[in-house]
Amino acid sequence: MKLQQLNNFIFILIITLSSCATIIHQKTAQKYYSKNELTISRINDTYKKIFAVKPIVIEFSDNEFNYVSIEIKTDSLRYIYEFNINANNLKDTLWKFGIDTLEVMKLIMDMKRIKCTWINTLDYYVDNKKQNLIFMSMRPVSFDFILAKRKYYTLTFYKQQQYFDAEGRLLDKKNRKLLRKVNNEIFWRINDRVCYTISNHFR
Amino acid sequence: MKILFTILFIFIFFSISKCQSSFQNIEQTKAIEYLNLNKNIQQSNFWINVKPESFIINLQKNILKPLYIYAGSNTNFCAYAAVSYTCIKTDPLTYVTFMIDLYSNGFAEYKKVYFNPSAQVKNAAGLLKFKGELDINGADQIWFLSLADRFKGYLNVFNIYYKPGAENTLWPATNYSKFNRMLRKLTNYKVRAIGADLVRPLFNDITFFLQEKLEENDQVFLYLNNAILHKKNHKKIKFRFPTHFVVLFSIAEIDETIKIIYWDYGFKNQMILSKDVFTDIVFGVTWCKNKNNNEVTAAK
Repeated sequence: MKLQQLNNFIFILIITLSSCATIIHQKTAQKYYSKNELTISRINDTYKKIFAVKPIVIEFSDNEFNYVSIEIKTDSLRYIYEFNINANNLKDTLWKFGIDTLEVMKLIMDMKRIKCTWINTLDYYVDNKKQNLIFMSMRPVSFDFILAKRKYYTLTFYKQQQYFDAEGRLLDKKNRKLLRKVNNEIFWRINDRVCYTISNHFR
Repeated sequence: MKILFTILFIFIFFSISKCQSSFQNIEQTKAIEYLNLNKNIQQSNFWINVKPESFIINLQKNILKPLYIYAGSNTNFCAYAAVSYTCIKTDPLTYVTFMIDLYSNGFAEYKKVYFNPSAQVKNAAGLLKFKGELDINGADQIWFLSLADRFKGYLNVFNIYYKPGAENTLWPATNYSKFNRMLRKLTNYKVRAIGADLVRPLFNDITFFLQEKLEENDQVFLYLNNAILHKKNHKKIKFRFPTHFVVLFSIAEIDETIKIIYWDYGFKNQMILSKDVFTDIVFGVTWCKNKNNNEVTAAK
């Protein structure tokens, strides 16, 4: 009987702790966004400008934020490169593809500053109509994150206003209860056009 | 004399190129003609969630641009997409005939392989959501789900039957022998392979080996550890087993790096990576040659 009670107690404790951890992380994610809002918005704007000229994806491929993997999409081929951010061949390659080198370097430095590991655009469909969003992942280095299983804050930026349920979860569309999943994750509201989640992968 | 020779050379070169491209066009034209004959197809009683108009548009796109066939984001359909790319590229007519039959009758045969997907699969096609472009490609949903339902390997033992959401689980997962079996059954290729699910094959010189296979065969596939090729987190310790299939187009060695051009996620990619990393991620190489040697293959 005592063993049964102990088991129940441990079970309840685990559930309570994990719920607390989720709530704490959700609050931390919102705080993180508020604290870095200016830089995040600048990254978003710069990325949009670069992407309009040439579709590009940027990833910091190492933990120290010294190497970037860059995907550049042309009509016939998607080129995937990896560079040290201080190497000249990064700028040479960008220049070769007609990409604004200064803008990309500014973007990379902003990404490094706030530990943003990944930025790209994703297509999604509402009523069979193609829409796209900007998908950004950060890996803040803090004590609670070292212990956490889910290491990345992911933000999604929409062109249109989005709809949410009473708990603030992103919905598929207005007047529908179906939760919209992006990259297989449920997202929460930051504002009408920005959502976040905490994930164990950055893309 | 020299000028005459040059003109002759240019003429022969363009004749050959035209001959090859017209071969591809003939195959595609036959498929498109067949599709046009069936463009007023009625709503299927079996695939109730796939509308006939979007089904036809999807098939047409696949026939004309097989390179863009897309397995969807966060699904385990990559093996089926790699096989589909080859099937549609080499024999679009068989593909389109099969798809029309399957849509109309609920069952069909593809090169003597009988497909009669379960009711759950039939109901799910058209309803897969949040998978990127796959959301609107009803025909692709039918095709991928039917392949996953028909072909089984040891990875599927505990997930034999489809349940909603199973496309993200082990239900459609593909081990190496299942992948090669699908290729043998669904194409006109003689398929040979080296590699396994857990142990990497040993190569004296992987670049030379792959270049030789590309030169001698019509299609080469790689079975890869995707956790390194398509990194999703920064964990230092990664599982060392393969989960991904790509179609290899070319490989070259520059200093100690490898430049590969390959088909993956509905697009042609070029990647440069170190030779050590590349050797580490290759768990299997499958090479295919058309059984009819005299036939010019469209796949090349």
